[in-house]
Amino acid sequence: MKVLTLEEKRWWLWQVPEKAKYIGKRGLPRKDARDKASGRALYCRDICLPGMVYAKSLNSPFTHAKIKSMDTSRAEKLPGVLYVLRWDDPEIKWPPAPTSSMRPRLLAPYLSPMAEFYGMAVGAIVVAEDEETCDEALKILMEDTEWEEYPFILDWEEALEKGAEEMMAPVNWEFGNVEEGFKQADRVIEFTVRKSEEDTWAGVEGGVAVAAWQGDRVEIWHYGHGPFGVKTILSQFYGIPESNIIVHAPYHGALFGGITWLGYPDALAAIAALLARKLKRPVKILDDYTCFRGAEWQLGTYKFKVGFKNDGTITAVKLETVLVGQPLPEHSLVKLLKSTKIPNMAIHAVWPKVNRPHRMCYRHGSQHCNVVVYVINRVAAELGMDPTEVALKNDGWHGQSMEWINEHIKPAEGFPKRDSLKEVIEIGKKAIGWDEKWHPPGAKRLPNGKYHGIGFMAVEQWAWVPFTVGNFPRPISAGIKVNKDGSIEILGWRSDGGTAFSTAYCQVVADEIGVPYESVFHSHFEDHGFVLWQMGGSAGVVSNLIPIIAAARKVKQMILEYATQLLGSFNGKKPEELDIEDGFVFEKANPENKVHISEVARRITIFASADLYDYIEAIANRKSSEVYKGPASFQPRTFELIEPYARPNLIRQAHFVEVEVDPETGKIDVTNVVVVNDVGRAINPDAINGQQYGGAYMGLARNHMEAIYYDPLTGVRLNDNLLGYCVPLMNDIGKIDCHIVETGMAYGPYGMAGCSEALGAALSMVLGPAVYNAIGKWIDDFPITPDKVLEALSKA
Amino acid sequence: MRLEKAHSTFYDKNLAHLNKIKLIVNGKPYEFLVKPNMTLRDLLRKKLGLTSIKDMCHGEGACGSCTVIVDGRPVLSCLTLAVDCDGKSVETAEGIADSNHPIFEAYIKYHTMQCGYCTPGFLVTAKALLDRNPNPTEEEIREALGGNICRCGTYPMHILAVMDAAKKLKR
Repeated sequence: MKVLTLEEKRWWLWQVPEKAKYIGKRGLPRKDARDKASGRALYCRDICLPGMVYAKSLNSPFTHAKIKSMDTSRAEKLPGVLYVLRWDDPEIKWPPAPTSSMRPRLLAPYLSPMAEFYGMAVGAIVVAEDEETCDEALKILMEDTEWEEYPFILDWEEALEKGAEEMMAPVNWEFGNVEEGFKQADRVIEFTVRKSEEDTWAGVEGGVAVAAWQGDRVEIWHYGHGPFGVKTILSQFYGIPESNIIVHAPYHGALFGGITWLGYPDALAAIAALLARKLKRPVKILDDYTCFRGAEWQLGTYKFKVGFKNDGTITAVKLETVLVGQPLPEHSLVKLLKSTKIPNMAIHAVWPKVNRPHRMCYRHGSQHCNVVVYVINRVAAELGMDPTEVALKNDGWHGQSMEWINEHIKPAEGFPKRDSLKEVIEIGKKAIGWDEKWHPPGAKRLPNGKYHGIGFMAVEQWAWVPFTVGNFPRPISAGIKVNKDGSIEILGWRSDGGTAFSTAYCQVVADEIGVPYESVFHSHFEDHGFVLWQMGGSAGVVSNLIPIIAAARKVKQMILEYATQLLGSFNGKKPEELDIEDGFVFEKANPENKVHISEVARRITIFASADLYDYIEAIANRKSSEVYKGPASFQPRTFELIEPYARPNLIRQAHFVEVEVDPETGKIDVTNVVVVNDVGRAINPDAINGQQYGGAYMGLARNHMEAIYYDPLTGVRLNDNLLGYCVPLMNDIGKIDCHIVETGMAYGPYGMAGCSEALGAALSMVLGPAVYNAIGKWIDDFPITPDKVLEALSKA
Repeated sequence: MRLEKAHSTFYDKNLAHLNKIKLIVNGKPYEFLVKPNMTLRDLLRKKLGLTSIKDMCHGEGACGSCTVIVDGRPVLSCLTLAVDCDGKSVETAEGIADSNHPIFEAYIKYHTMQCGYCTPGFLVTAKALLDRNPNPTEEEIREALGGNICRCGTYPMHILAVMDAAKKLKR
């Protein structure tokens, strides 16, 4: 095996091919566009097999209760009912061992006798000939089940006071010396921000899995982000080799991240397989309520203490968070540390368990971005400064200024010395007319009688770039083959998140090899032996392109070498004297001498693969201090918990929102939005715009629309459906103006970063400063609903 | 990946309760025996395998993802009984795609989809708008599509696509 040089492993310096026709191009049709627009794309809910039967789970009518007894005889006698699987069935070897540290205790949410929140799937699963019979049987089963109710707690602070179990060990983390930082400050402020109602991913395709057995082989149709994990789980569950488990990954409807990380899809697949084996018929398990059985992870209380100088330089931030339990060990200072030069910060974080749905991030990063929004804007408000100036003054990374990074890091890593934050802010300010529109808080009433407000936030633009091998539970790799007709297939198994990743992969491979975009396809539904990374949308292109580009370059080299050996036209030529364009191998010195690549492919197999491991090995073995060559005291400490070898994100995003606040009704209208993302390098600008729009809708709606409400007396969820839960519609947000900046300063291939998570997270509390600018009062209790606005105005 | 039409054995057991209806679906005539409470959505999905008709809100009429055109009007097929459509003409996203209507190519051109689950519902709603108003304003497009949920937030792309299709229809 060829040993790669360090330079070959610095994929962020890989150059886009000189004659690239597709990378960065607008107007290319998505590879999935025709199937999705026509409705012919198959989702897991569309899968229907001969002889297939249906399964559904019992859902708890109580917020905290245990099943005392259950008589299944009446339900079993209902015509069409085939089986009732109980929690105490001796066949259940549940739960299987966790496959990932991210799924520590929530892997088995369907067959526990104990309900920990309202609507939790508990106790039993009914199998019947059709869905309607399942529903009828579940009604009977509900009547024939006896429950023992327990007290419940919905509020996290109450839970903490009463000594509730904690989901994770408390985190006490300090960077620099926070007390010393407060001493250096001219002023110190304290404030509390609360996210009082939770929002949820409200994915549009309810939970589902299909399983069918043939002999000792099981075939699964999986709904979820990580189809590869199902093999491991089922292998452990049944004691059969992974080779006997076939998993298909059809399209899935707006799943986003959280629900997969909580393990619901894997549990559904395991249950479907168990039932299918028992009944000797294909089983489709349907879970109509999974979309509301989880929630986003920013719910909780954030207590801030911030010290700063009179010129806006922030010297210290101390944060205490009480967030509702989550199974991912990150704390809320992550992005403040990664986006500023603030030298001293500390956090005390606790995660008490309450009787609410399991929670996990989707469009990851809200709780971190919220902290950045509030620290920058509160300091600006206290000083009467423009918040964009405060952001620029404090820009940096891990306590270091951008000047220091320009001198010590960018040259060493091969990056240009562009000022990303300045660029995104200038573009955004110009686009929204910031200099003309920004005004003192509460100072502008519009002719329609409403208050006008304008808000801003800026934070790093991130990508989950894999610098260490240890973070991955399995190999990440891609294969590329050239078919006999010259068409190209990218082999890399992953589920579809809707982010146009296949389109981006095909654009890149077309340019890297020199073939038409139309002739490249990504085969991602099935397991060909190559698994691409799935963990986050922003990682889907960035990290996976590393093995894909590497494999494409190998394939190109193979085509050129074989062309000199197999084709008479190129006899006596060396591979370096040839090139490929539009699918034709040609002689550089005589471009008229050309042959289509199919002439090579029909003579010999052309296939190459690449494994991410080959490209990160050296970095994983390097200590962070060796990477940065900075002062000994300067260590990348952000990700002590999960990413010990993280590198600095040098690119930024800045967003601006205009609101109108009605003093009569308290209603907030978001009338104008400008979003600016430095993505390093744009592979598909249309797809990036799509993520900007989508993230803006989701992130902004988290501020004032999306909320699940509970009856405080019973803990019953009052709006766990799409009639009652306010997913933003087309006309709920005003104009959104998207801008893309490409500084090339990111650590993905070609210097790119991801964009799919960025805005949903970044904008999650941006209406706080915008509403403050409108009415002159901070409303620090999210979501900012009209009643809170009216209450604030009455106190004004 | 395998896809077969659903088995209807159990459904059709009580033949006495079934009603015979005639439908024209995407230009082709059909006859069905259906239960009185069967929705148009279930009929088209389960008997004809028309996967463009999605189920997002579980039959509450909240999302628009099951929209089909019945006799020229967009309807939510999850809230429409199949027996009420006897003798009517139904158009789905599959039919619109196969007819090469400009709205289909415009939807592809403008990246109107991300996960794609809601996209056929939008496409059908947009086509119904263009059928009755070939030259809609942005406000009219917003009004027509304002009830469809897209969790991925593709909304602005749909406005561009409908306007583009309207231009092509004019030509």
